[in-house]
Amino acid sequence: LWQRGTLVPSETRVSAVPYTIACVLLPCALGLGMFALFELWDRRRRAKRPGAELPRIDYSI
Amino acid sequence: MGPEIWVDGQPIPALGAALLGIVVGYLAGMFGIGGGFLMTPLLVVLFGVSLSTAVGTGLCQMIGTSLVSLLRHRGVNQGESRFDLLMIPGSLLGVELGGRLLSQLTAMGSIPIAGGELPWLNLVVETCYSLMLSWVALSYWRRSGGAVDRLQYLRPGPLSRVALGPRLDLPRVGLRAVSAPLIAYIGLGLGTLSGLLGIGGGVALNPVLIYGYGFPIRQAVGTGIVVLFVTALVGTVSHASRGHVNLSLALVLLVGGTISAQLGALMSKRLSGAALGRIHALVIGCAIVAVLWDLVRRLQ
Repeated sequence: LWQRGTLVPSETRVSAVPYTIACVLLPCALGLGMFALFELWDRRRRAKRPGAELPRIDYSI
Repeated sequence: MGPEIWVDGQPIPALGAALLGIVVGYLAGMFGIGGGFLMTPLLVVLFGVSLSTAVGTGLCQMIGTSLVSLLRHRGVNQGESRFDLLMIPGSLLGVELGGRLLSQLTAMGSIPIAGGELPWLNLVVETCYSLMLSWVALSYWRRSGGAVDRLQYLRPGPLSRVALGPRLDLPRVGLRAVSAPLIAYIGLGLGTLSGLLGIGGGVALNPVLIYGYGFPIRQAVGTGIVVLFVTALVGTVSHASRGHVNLSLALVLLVGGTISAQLGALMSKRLSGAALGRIHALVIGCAIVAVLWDLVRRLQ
């Protein structure tokens, strides 16, 4: 899919269906990966400073 | 120059895009928001990305941010899930409607204004942005005075008294006999905004919940996250099938944004609520100036 640093069907002649699936799955996978990293970081942080809470981020707005 | 991302046939620097993701993510983390309403206009103004691509790409990266938010909120148990469930069908319909509207506006071409030509798409979408952001900035500026912070519960708002049946109770926020169709229509409106402007919709939903229904602020913030995730998913499918999503740009923005959002959230602990509200209003003010500047630039 990755050609000349882009991922757009019109520019890479990729079929729209697998491209659309990739547009949903890759951000999900990246989001899950980032979440796992945050959890790891937060756990280590709290182990060093017990009681320190990670501020909650609301992505609703 | 470093690696480049090709968007609409034009190269944009990947580092610049990552920096934009970091800055928007930092502000988003600081203010406890998603930042979609900043991301879309800034992609257009700073990198010359077409509005339709900016909207679709914004929705695509929102899948990742809203998924992180969903996972974070899972254990906190905040928000009124009945409100979420009722909004979902209308929101799904709305996001498709917004996507079609966007395609329609793109096909309509330009309109002659003041000796120049302005695309209908930019005129309608950027005017919507300016009006909505002005309203939000004003409400944040007023809120920074602390009037709302002092109230744990506002009185049941005017929308909770609308007598359009069937009605249902919202026990978590202490509201009785609330109109179910009205909630579905709110979902439709928010979904349309998401599909048309590439935003999460919470920027408009929270004032409706707090001032319209009288939700406590914490419950208002927790409500709508499920809808946001579903809307981002459906909106991305809708826009990707029309070729309006640049996946590589979305992933670069997503990585930068999610990392810096944590740092922004840590920074927010050092600032007072009033200061945060005023800075938030100023940031939105800058976004309004950027959108208006883009409109004027296109006229020349």
